Amino acid sequence: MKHLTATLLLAAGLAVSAPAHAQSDDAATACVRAKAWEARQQGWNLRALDASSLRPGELRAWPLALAPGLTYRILTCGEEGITALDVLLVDGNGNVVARAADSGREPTLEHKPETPSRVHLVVRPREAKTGDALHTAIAVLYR
Amino acid sequence: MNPTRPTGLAVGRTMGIVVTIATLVISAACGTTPPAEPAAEEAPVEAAAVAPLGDQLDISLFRQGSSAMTLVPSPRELQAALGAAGLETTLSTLVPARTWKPDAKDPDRVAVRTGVIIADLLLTVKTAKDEEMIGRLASIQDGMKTLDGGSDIDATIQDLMDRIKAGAVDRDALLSELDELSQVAVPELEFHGKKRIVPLIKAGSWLAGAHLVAEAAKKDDKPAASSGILKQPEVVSYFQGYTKAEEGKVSSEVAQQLETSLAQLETVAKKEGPLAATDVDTVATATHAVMELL
Repeated sequence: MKHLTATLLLAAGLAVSAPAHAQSDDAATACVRAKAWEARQQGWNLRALDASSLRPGELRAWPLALAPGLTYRILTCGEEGITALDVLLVDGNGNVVARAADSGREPTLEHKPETPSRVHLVVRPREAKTGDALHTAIAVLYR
Repeated sequence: MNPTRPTGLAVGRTMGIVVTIATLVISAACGTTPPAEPAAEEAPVEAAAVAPLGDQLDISLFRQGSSAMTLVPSPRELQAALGAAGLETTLSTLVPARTWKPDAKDPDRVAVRTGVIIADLLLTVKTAKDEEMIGRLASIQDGMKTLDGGSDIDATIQDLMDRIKAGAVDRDALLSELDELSQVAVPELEFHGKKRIVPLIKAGSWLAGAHLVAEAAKKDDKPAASSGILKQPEVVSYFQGYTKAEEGKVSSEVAQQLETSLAQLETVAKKEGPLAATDVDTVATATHAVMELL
């Protein structure tokens, strides 16, 4: 419920309470939540928001069923120790169908499928200041 | 009216503060603020880097994220896809007045029903009267109580109802909150370890949406245009994994019908080429058969 609490506070305009409650999110989740909130003001809608803790080189994959005609935007944030984050969409045969072009720890990926498709959203810290597991967060939006 | 909540006017007055604080939160969280000086006693850290990924990956090595969280399109996403496919009928105009079975203690029935109501709520949030929305939220709240969803979700829904009653939330903001409620908060709930509950709630929402898409395709006489939305074998397969109870039995009347209907939807979803009118009829009938039992 921590995800919901932070968003409801912002949505309801409870400005004074927002920072304190938002601290219940890790920094990566707070970052991606803020980006998702901003995107929603621009007409994007939320499919999902999730987080994971990953070491450099470790993959996490989320399954996505995508509808043709819609544009999907993947927002990501890695916590401060991450310096480069890989973000890809991979089809059922392992082929990379889309890849975030921007480097750094907050890549964004957009994809507009032409046919109904099932893909995996793959996230992997590629470079980090440490070998420890660090938080990464994703938001999947569509319009 | 909940006295701790600001009125709509108060919300408006605080928006500047909200934007400022939200910006600070974004800046702090996203690392756009200047880096702090490292502490003198901080231990040295060893940087780590791996080679870039190629264009072909071994998907058997993936550590899977939550399917409940990401896989299934939301009812509003089905509506958006419908528009993108050239269908003119909006799903909100097809949401029926529903009546429910009085014996509401079977968890399968309650879970699927709650999912259906969530879909109805999401699709009608821009058009429904306040009392209709409050009624749907109350039904969702009842469902969550029966399913042992916990006090947090109960309080959150109550808060939404209180603010709607007080006229303290606009529909756009409410839509965002309900999106997050259905797409993020509900999939996070644990229901005391009952792993089928979240998938069954999602199944209810998806079946309700698929039913309305089929009805819209029939109304517009464009069955082929609904193909990209209704042909989702992976989604059907995901739900098929949860029709059986933990002990491996299809124990409830709802679960039995769900299994039958999902088998029919699987046949349609795996069909080659665009859907025909008979396929859309099959979807409408199969999904309706589940909802009739709720």
